[in-house]
Amino acid sequence: MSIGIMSKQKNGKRKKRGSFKDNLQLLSMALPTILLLAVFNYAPMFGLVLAFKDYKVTDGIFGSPWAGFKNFEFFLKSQDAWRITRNTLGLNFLFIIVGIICGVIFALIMFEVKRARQVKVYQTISILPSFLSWVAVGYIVYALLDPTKGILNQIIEFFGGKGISWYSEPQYWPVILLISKTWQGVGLGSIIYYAALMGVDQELFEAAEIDGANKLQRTWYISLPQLVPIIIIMGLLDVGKIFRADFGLFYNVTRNVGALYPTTDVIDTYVFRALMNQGNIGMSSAVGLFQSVVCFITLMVTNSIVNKISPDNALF
Amino acid sequence: MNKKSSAMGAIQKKKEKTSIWVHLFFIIFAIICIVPFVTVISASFSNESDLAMYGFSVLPKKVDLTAYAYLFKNPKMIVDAYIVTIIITAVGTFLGVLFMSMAAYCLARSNFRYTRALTFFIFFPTLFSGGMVPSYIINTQYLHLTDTLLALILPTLINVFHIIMLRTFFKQLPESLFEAAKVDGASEYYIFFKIALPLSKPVIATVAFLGALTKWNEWYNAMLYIREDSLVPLQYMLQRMMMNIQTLLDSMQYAPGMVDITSLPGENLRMAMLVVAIGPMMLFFPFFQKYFTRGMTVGAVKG
Repeated sequence: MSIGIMSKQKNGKRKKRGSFKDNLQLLSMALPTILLLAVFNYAPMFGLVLAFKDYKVTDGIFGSPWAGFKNFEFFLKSQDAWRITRNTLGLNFLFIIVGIICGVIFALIMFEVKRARQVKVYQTISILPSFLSWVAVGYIVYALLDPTKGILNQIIEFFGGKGISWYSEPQYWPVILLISKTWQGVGLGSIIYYAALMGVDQELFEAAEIDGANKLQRTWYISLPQLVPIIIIMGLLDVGKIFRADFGLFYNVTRNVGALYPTTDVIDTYVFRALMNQGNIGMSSAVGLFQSVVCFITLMVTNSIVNKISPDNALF
Repeated sequence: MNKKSSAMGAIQKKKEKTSIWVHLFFIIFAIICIVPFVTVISASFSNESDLAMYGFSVLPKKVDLTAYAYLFKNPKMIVDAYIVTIIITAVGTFLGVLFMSMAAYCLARSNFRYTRALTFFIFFPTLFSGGMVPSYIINTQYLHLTDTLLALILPTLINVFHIIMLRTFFKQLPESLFEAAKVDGASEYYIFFKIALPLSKPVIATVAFLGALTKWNEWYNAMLYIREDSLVPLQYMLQRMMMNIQTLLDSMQYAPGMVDITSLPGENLRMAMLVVAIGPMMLFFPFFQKYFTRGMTVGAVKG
């Protein structure tokens, strides 16, 4: 989470311009990065014209004939538009809210651990799932949810219930994805809040203690208010990315099972399938363009809000 | 911040002890974190017929090494995957750190004339991206990256947030060091490699670790660009196997009909594969935890 990237040059300090030779050397040092970004980040931006093209491999991106808004029409008429937008926004919104609440609670409890050594042990264990790729998390979820062998159904059946065929019942999946995401990310996500708590002036807590505040009151009236700014900022930064789904989570944890699409299909997985399975380059790039543009707008809006609240934390 | 908090910790230690409820919370959480791993390991050491009968469990019904025997009887696939993963992690991390730190140094130097333009150029891709489809077309049709290791290395080499972390660190180095070197006639390359880099080990280590972790966990670009079996990295191998266990059995040239059908490796083999693929990393990476936590907090809390 880096902050203040486009910050203006400090006032009052006159900038000394280096020699031509120095600048040439410096530029040559930045050259690999410039070239890589140009090829792998900027070229695809121009490639977005594909959304308006009827792509043919032999004609290339720019040689292919124009298709106007045909690709967009095809998408909007497909009934998928509403579903994938709703899933992307709804699930991401759920992830943001629950992610923040769990991260903050986790950090507050971690703050109550008084020995540095214990903090380290607990942190290491809670971060362990964050080292895993979504592919590996998919395996773990599978071990829990497999209808015949999974641990969860064993537990349900042990208590006399009837096992659920998880991979064909889409209604459970928002919760399953939420739990997977929280399990994987809460340890790491809480660190930023924990660091903020460590920065709170200790005298505040001591003063409150002298005034007779108990632990819960100290948490509620001191720790939590101190966290509010960072909570708002983390939340806004996440909202800025709300139109981009975590492809790895949605693709691997659901094992890309078709029966689950009603609740788990998001823009990113939809684009992927349209491209790889149907080879529908026109429509998939139309959806991609829609996503990029909306994403850009939300980022600009949320950033300008962050800028108003706390210029130090704005991205630019 | 560190000094202050450790001093505070010393005071606190005398005064209060951690509540038992707090410990209980973390012990339960630790169990939730660790039990899935144990289940996976247990399944890998189980007999397939036990798994079919009793399902996955935290402890195996009886320890059975069939799955591992299968894996190591024909280890080509997993050895190839390890080699590919190690190559892309080593090369990708080295080049990534080198290129990103050079660019970051460039942005941090006060005598560089194009700071604003270059900052914008580097930062803009985090705001707007072409997305999957144009990248796919360009990488396959124009750059011909299909079935090359470059497809797994180049597209993820530059991480803008890591450049920002590096730049922030370089900016904190005393300017006088650079100026003194300049007076002595040092070139920018000399200053970067001999002065700036040696002073920046903490941030370099952080960026290198974060980069290595993403490269080690690479499956996305492999899924898009790799068809050739010998170029498949670990995580993509796992993914293909999750989607289709037959892939694995085929690649091991298993001849059906030779053994009792119930002891045919399936789930246990899958889980053994996961253990072999992620086990070494799970033992190794926690030692680098501090870089992980540092990466999360750099710049966000100006303590």
